[in-house]
Amino acid sequence: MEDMYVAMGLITACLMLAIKFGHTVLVTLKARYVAQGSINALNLLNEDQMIDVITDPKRQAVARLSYKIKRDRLLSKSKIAIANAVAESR
Amino acid sequence: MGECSFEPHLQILLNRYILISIVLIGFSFTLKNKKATWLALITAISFWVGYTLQCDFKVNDPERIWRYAFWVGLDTIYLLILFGLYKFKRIEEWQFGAICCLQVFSFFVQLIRLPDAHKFNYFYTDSFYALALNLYNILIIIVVALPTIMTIIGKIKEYKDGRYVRRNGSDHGMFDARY
Repeated sequence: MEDMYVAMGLITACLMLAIKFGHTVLVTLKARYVAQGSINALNLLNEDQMIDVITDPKRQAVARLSYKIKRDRLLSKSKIAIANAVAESR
Repeated sequence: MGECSFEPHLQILLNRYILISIVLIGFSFTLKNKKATWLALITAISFWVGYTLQCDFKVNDPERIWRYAFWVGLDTIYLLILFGLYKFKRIEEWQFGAICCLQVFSFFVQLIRLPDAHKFNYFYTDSFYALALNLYNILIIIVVALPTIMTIIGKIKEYKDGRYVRRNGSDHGMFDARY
C-alpha cells in the first residue's frame, strides 16, 4: 500500500510540473495578446495622444512591450525583403 | 496474468495514432513547415515508445500500481522535450500551451484512477477512463495536425487567387525556412 502513495506523489509532482508549464505559456500568450491590442490602439493615436501614453508611467510597460514587438516585426520584414531581393538578383 | 506477445513492427505501425503522426511528419516536412514537423516527430516518437513498452510493463506490474506512474512519467518526458523545443522556438507557442492543458487533464485522470483501483475496485473511473485517454490522444493529434491543415488551406487559397510563387512562400508557418 505504501507503493501506491509513492506513485500518487510522483503523479502529483508531474501534474504540478505540467500546471507550471501551462501557466507560464498561457501568461505569455495573454501578454502577447494584450500587447497586440495596445499596438492596434497606438496605431490609431495622433502625436499628442501618443506623448500622453508614453509619459503615463502606468502604460509605459505596455508601450515598451508593444514597441519591442513592433521592432521585431519590422526587422523580420526587412530580412524577408533582403532575402527576396537576393533571390531575385540570382 | 496474460502473456506479453511481441508485436511485429508493421503491427505497431498500424496503431492509428502513430500512423497519423507519421503521415503528419511527411505532410509538414513536404510543406516546409518546420515547427509542425518537430512537433509531429516528437509526438510520433512518444506514441511509439509508449506503445512498444506498455505490454512489457503491464506484465511486470501485476499489482497495477506503477503502470500509472510509468505513463505519467513518459508523458512528462514528452512535455519536458517540448518545453526545450518551445524555449528555442522550434514549436508554436499555442500548441505547447494546448498540450500542457491536455497533459494536466490526463495526469488528473491518472491520479484519480490509482486510488480508485485499490480502494474502490474501479467503481468511479471505470465508466470514463478509456474514453478520457482516447479523447486525450485524439485531441493531441488534432493539435499536432492543425498547423499542417492551415498550411494546406493557405496553399489552396494561394492557388485560387493565382498568387502562388514557389520561392516566396513566407507565410503560414514556413517562416524559419527563410533564414
